[in-house]
Amino acid sequence: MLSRISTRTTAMTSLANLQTNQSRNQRLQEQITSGKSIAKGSDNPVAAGEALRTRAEIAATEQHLRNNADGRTWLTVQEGALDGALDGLQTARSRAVQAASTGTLDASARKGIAAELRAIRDNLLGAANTEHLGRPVFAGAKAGVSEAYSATGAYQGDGNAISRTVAPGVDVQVNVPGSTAFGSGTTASANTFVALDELIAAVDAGDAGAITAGIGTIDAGLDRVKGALATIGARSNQLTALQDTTEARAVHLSATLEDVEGVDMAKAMVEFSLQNTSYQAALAATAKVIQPTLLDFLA
Amino acid sequence: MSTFSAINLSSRALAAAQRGLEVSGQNIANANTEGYTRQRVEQTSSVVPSTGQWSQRNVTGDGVEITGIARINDALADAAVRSDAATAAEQQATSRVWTDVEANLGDLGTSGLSAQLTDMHKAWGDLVSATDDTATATARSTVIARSQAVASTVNSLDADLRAQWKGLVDQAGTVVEEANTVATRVAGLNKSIMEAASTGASANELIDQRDAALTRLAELTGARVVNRDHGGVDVYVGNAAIVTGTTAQSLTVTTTPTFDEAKAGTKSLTFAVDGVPALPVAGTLKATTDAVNTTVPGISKDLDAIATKIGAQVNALYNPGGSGTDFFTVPTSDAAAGLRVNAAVTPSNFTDSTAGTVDRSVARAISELPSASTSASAAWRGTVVDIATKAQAADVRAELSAQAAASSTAARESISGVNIDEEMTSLVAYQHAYAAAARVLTTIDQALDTLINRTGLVGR
Repeated sequence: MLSRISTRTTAMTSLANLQTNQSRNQRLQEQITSGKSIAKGSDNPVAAGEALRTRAEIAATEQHLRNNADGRTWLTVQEGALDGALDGLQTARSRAVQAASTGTLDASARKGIAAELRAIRDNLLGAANTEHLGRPVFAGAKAGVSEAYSATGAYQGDGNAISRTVAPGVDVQVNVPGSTAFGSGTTASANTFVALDELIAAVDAGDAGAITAGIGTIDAGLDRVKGALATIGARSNQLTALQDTTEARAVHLSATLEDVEGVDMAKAMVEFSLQNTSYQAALAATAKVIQPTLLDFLA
Repeated sequence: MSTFSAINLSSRALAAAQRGLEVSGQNIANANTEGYTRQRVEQTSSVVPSTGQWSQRNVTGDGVEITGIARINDALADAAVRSDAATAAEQQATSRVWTDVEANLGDLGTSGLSAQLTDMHKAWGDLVSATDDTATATARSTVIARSQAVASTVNSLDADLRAQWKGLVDQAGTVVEEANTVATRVAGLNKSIMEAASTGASANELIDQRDAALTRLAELTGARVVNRDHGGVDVYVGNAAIVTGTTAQSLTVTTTPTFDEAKAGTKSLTFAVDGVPALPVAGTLKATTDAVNTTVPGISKDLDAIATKIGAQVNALYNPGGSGTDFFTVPTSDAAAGLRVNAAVTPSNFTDSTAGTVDRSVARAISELPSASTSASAAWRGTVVDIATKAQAADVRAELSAQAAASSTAARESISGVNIDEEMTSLVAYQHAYAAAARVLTTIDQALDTLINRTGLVGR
């Protein structure tokens, strides 16, 4: 405790205290109006670091959600095309069975079946060349191709994967290469289009043995499409599940960010009014302390 | 004792009371003067020499004698004010340096480099989803533009640091200039004070002025004060004397020319007094020197490391093996100033997939870079938090040292400051003393009047 008080000390101390009060007031005011508890990193370095990290994670999560949505679009487009292809191939098989079992069909009936098979082949080619935003989805990852299968049924793409990163370290392949879904090469057993071509020729010729053989190759084609659909279904499930967890994570991260740098309004308002009261008290006290000296009482 | 000695006594009493009134007046006049030290009339009762042949017995004293006008101070409190002021000035300046650094480099993720980096990686991520040629070209342009934004942000952060460094070097020059002016003033005041002391005149106001100058010098350079005989002081910066008695030596500053040399570890600022190396131990100059020699170049090196990391991590994925075109060009030294997007990278000359495919594996890998704990984004976050922590610590230290300086000033004020109530009291006391002394004089006068004019008149 100072033993002796000088007039100037009283004034300076009062001034310093008022200023401290005022700067506290200002800080609270800033927090309340901005809604942020940290205006710059040095206000609270730990919280600032946390906020930075959380922001980066939110950005990554948003990216993963976008990738996920894009991946699911790819899968949906392929699924639609493959569903059509499956229907077509099943119809083709039943027509072929019809043609084989009734080998005695007359030429015009066979012609009708052949025409239907040709239409199915055209539809199948259309399905295999399905595009998503200008990209043939069944062409694998090969660059510079405009269609997955040529008119003759030759595969133009490759067997490479197109993937999307949908969670940290999780890449999901979102394409099924045409070589898996419709086959490639020039043999009937390995390429569904060649199989259809040969079946059409057999039906045209009325060659019952060849038609039966053709049914076998169509079955192989059906298996390929079913396999592709199963793969797509599994990946779709994976993406949907990941989307749920990623969205939950995004919500959690936003809440964390709000916790870290947001202002607890109720608390801030209470503190602010307390601070205001003490500021006013300080003002009143200062006004009383600074005024009187002995001069006021000497005649 | 002579007949008239009482008149002489009254005259001394009047003079003493009058001097007391004057000194109180001086104190009141300077009640609000910063650094003023209150004064007091020192007086003692005067004694008649009573030894000798003709000395008499039962003689009273000879009234009052003024022995001097004292300056009420405490050397320890004055020294504490000086050293605390030096520390406060140093911490204040350090805090200002960090505040500036944080203003330049600070980043809460809403804007600044971390947001730019996020945008850049987002652009790479969007490129992954681009399907046809038009969309791909657009996405690639976006990637290039966002990457350029990252590069130019890093460049401008580096430019900010260079500007700050240059400003601090200039500031050191200004501080040295002011210190020299103040040192000259101290030497001049030393001379006046020693002269006043030798003639017996009061040097109180001069000493106040010198104290203020010494405090300023301590704030600037952390100068140390050594008292000398006859009222003079010597002043040392480090171990070099810039004021010796009545002569002041010039403090000189040597600056190495470039920021890059400072980054290489050359001390940019060195000080000397007349060829003797002087090392500021506190004050603004120490803070400035530390910032110029260590702090700012250190942060710049951190920024270089970040720039190198940004470039290297993208290049390692974009151009694995290093035989093709790099995405970023990163100079080996001053990476932050020289980070650029390679001019050879254009939407048509761009690698985002394994050769011959559109699998976008390259773009995908780059878009996932920030997830790694060793990523450039994470390193930048680390730097930002480090800066924020240091800025906060500097701020706290500045606040504490300012409080310490305020309390040592208060301690000094409690000894040397003017209290108006106290002065009013002594004013009243001296006023009464004056009136009473005047009454003594008139009483003696009347007694003499009786003796001179009314004696020997019997029977007239």
